This record gives sequence, structure tokens and C-alpha cells, in this order.
Amino acid sequence: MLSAVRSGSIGRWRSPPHLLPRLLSSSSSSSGTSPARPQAAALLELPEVEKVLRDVRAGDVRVFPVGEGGLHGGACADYMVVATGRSDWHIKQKQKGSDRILMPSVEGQQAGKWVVIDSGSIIIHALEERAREYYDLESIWSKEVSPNTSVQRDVCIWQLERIFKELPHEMT
Amino acid sequence: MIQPQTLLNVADNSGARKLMCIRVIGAAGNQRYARIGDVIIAVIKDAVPQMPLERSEVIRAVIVRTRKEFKGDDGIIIRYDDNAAVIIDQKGNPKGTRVFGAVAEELRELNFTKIVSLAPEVL
Repeated sequence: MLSAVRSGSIGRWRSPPHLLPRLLSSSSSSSGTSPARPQAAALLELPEVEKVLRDVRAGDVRVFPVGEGGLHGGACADYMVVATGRSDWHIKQKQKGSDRILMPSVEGQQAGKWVVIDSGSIIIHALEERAREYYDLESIWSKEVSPNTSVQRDVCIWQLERIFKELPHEMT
Repeated sequence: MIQPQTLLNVADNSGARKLMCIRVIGAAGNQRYARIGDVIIAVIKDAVPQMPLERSEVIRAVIVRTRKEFKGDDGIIIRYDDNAAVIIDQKGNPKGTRVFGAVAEELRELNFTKIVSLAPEVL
């Protein structure tokens, strides 16, 4: 659920349809792309993100599905991708790697300790090793996604049981 | 509507408990009052003992909840029960590692994705 500003900006990024096949083919062979090319093509896809992160040798890449029923009730994003860089410079390189596909919004580029690339349904976090330890993002998403859903499931089961228990009484 | 002298709660685990706004910076449009997503300079009025942040320290914070109703681009009006802020550093990294309570979705468009991804709930 992205509001008007964001969808407007995404609409601006999207390429005309006749460009799309060419761009998709060029993005699969990443060596031939030039960064100066207008940043078109559709939004980042998960395999593409993974490929780019592998290209720049990002360490310890983990993907968290935080879609419906999970964190933020699906209002935020579908996937969170976390990666570690060896240095500030390396994190910035990583960001450059994703540059050649599409970058809707990048945050923390100057600081370099924690760069967030927010492309609608996928949010990519590139962190320095110490920052990753400090913020411990994995524990939020892995912890919160599972207990929340299990609690919800328990509540659902409990409500269902109660409804079924009450049903015969109402009928008789 | 946050202005100098407004007291705010702290919505993270940085160690501060109460902030007082002393300056509104970069408020879009209205220079006088800060809204959700604006950065303020604040002084820590109350802090948890044995934490890195201390009383009477001057810090930057971004407002995440206001009692004044806030209208998003989709027309939904949200009003929270308290005024709350998250402490950040000069570069926009949050000082704490966890954010408490609901935060507004608009923070994401205002380039505070880090705070949004730490928050347990996004409205």
C-alpha cells in the first residue's frame, strides 16, 4: 500500500513498453550495462537483488519474507534483505551495484554504516559489520513474524472452538 | 504541532525518557511547528540511569507521533495519544536499536526507512 507520492514516483521511473524487453535482456548480462543509461525497467525483483549482491560479494545475505500477516501487517514491504559489507566503501559499492537496475530511494549514502535501498516491495539493508551486530535486525523480523502469526492462529482456533461450542445451544 | 518547549516521549530504547524541543529544523512549509517526520533539536530532560545518554544532553530527534491530527496523502487522518520522537544522529541513523509503538507510514517517504523497519507497527 504505497501512497500517492511514492506511486507517482514509481510511475515516473517506469519505462515505455517498447524499451522493456531490451532492458530486461541487458540486465541479465550485467557486465554490458552502463550506469549512465536512464534508470528504467520495472521494480527490482528478488532474484535480481540476490544476483547483484552476489556480484559485489556481499557477506551473509539473508532474506526475510515480511508479507501478509507478518510484520507491519503487510502494509510495508514483502521482503527485507539484509547484507553485510566489509567497510564503508564496500557498502557504497554495493549500492552502486544495484544502481544499474533501478533505485527508487536510497538512504544513508553519505554515512555508509547503514544504507537502505527502498524499492517498494523489497527493502534492502546494507550494513557494516558492527552496525549489523548493534541493530540486530534479524532478531526483530525472525522473532516478530513467527510469534505474531502463531498468536493469531491460537486466537482464531480459540474463537472457532467457542463458536462451535455455542452453536448447538443456539439451535436447541 | 511541536514547538520549542514542547515535552515529548521517547519511542526507542536509547535510554532517554523525556525530551524537550528547543528548535524545529527543516519543517516543510510551516517554519513554526514541527509535524510527523520533521527533525527537531531537543534536550534530554529525563534519562534512564546507566545508559549512554544523559540528562541535559542536546540531541536530534525525528517526530513519529503527534497529538495533533495528521492527514496522509491517502486522506486518512491519524491522531495519537502522545507526542513521541526517536533520537537520531547527524547522519540519520537511529541511536536506539528498537522503536516502540506505532509509527506513521509517511516516515518512509520522508527517508526514515530505518526507523520504519525497526518499528513493530506501521500505520
